[in-house]
Amino acid sequence: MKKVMMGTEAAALAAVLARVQVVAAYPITPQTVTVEELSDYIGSGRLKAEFLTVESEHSAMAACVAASATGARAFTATSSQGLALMHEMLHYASSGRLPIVMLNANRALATPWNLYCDHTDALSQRDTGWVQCYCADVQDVMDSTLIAYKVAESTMVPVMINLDGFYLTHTSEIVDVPDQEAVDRFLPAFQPECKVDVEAPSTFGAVCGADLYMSLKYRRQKDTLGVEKVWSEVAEDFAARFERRHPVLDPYRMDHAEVALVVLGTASGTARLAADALRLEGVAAGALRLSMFRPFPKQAIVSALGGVRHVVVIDRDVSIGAEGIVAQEIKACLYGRHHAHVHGFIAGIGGVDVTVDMLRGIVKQALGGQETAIALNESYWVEVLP
Amino acid sequence: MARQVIQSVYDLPVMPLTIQDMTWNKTGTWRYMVPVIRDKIPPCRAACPLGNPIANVIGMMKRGDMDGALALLLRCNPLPGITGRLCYHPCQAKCLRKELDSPVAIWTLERYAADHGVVPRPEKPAATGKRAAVLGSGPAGLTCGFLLALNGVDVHILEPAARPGGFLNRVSTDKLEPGVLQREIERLVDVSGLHIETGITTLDPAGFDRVMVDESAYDPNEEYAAVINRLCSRLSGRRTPAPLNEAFSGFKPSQVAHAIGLGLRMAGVVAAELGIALREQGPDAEGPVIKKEDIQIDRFQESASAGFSEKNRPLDKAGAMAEAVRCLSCGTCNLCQRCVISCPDACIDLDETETRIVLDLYHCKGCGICAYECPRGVLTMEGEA
Repeated sequence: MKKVMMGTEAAALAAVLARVQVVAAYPITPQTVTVEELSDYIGSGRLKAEFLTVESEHSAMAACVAASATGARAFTATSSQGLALMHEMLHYASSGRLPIVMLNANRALATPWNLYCDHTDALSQRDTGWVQCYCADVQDVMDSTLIAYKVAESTMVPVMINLDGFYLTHTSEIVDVPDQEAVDRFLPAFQPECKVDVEAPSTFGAVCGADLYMSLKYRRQKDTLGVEKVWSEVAEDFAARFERRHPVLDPYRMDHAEVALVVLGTASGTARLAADALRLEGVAAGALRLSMFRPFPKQAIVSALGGVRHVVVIDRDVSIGAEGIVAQEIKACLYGRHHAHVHGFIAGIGGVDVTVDMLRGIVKQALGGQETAIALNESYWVEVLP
Repeated sequence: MARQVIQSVYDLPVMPLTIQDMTWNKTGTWRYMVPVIRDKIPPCRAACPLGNPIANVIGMMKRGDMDGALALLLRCNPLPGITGRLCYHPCQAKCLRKELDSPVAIWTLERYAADHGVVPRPEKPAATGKRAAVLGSGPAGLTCGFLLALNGVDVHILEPAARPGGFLNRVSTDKLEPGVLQREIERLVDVSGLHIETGITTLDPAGFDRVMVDESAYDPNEEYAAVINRLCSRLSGRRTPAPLNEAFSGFKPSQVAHAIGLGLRMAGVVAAELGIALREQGPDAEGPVIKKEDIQIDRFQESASAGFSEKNRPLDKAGAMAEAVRCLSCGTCNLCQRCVISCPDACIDLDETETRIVLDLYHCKGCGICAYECPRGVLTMEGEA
């Protein structure tokens, strides 16, 4: 059935279709609609689940950790400051191997206070061991949330679904809502191999000696790296059932491209239009959206870049004191594997619009190679006061 | 479980959890403060001239056990139907429920238990072979005789007047309805097995190990005290009780609990003289009297029910239950199990009989969450012995 809805509504409806059993969340702009919707779904009886109103995001994630450990399918949603407050519990969830799925509405971190789109909130959490996906449109939010549960529960790694604040959380689009029966067939009930069980007591997260601790980390690293393959398989299964594809990389006109615009999230649509415009101007440009950022799909990126000579990375984030986080990752990924020049641009943070003209200008600037920042191999800041 | 050799991380469960339970780890050795479950004295009980175990009595009423409530009351007060009507109820003035809304109507609940509870005659105690007489059947004499009889003494209450009860016979009927006194005395006799003889004019002291005088016995008949004193004067060669003060004008009806308390003390003195150990009069409670700081008043909800009223209206069963549940059970474990639920180490539980909370001190780390969660000051953290 097709419906018009916003990204926040799609996330809530996806949680309903996934038959989540516990929702523990704290409202925060621009995620609030998701929490309100779920509250309504549960209050009206449409979704049979426990809704825990908590006093903070830290507690929201703690509640999801506990719920998930008992074998319940748990969901939460947050944004920006709330995600930052969850930091400790994010490690707990992933190292506890608890397949929680969370919506994060990407929003700039204070201070100064800013409610608009910025990826630094989620990318600051890249080392917490969560799978990170960044959505392109509202349909992607719906579908990726469903895929996320299946991937999380088969790998026992939690998944964070990122939505660009306002661009995606508050923009309405036509969404093809899958039937409940079809979702049930795709995503059966969660049956964990181990859980809190009074009949077979054990201690979760007990103290662990140095030797075993490191080995357990190593296993988690291997299992988490394996998520890329599992996602691809599950996404294939999803595509076979629902005729929509959600691969870990989303390339556009990358065949024989010499320049690639690498983006996360909703800037993907703009990057595609910019690539079209650049092609008309004689620049063999393509666009590459990383729909998965953790685990970082290294091999897929190296393959997708093929014969590209200039990789233009648009970072809607910054690691202050270093450079754009996505650019860093791309450089590390290509080092020794690919010989393209990587150009990092900081653009559209704190809610600045990323436009087609801006991206065309950025590409031309990169190809010209005149700017100091590019010569020094640092990120170039677009549209800032000198 | 057989010893398992881990050769690969994939031999381990996917979640970082122990392969077996952790009860081998006696974490109790980490503890430097220990939870102690001990009933304290609630302020109502401290204020009661009789030390009635009010919270325990109301606890039984909450569960609908009116017979049990009455049986418990009778362990230290043989006339609850009288005190439930006449006493000035200092218990209610101290009730900590007033910090939340209004005091519990303890007085009215006592009356309900006395009027509606049914108590089987307790098992006959082992006879001590001792005989005692009490001159005068006011509430003190009845109480003294009741307690001694319950402890195996053959008690005879000798009353010069035509009816037992002393000054209670002269309480106005708007305070004490006709028939209540007779019912209360009949139950007292039935429960304890003591003997009451009225219209006494002579006393043969030879058959008694001890003769007491009920100091609360008073009769406006000016010859009453003289009769008692004349009877006493025949007790030559034995320990003679102090003669009745002929100027004493008796207790006021509202002071009936003090008269009963006098009887309890008389019984204690006589039992000691006769070498008899009195049975427990009420549930044990030690330590300081509970103060409002000891109660987590914010853990309780205000009640819609009327609560305390100066008018001692009789209640129906639903009304009694509704009033009883308002009792906070200060300092008195009522098995609410907040401690059980809150213990992060599952060290607190009901015992097999489900009548008592027990602690697993082999594993209790002494974190104190249980003491924080106990809303009524029963569970407290103390230094390790």
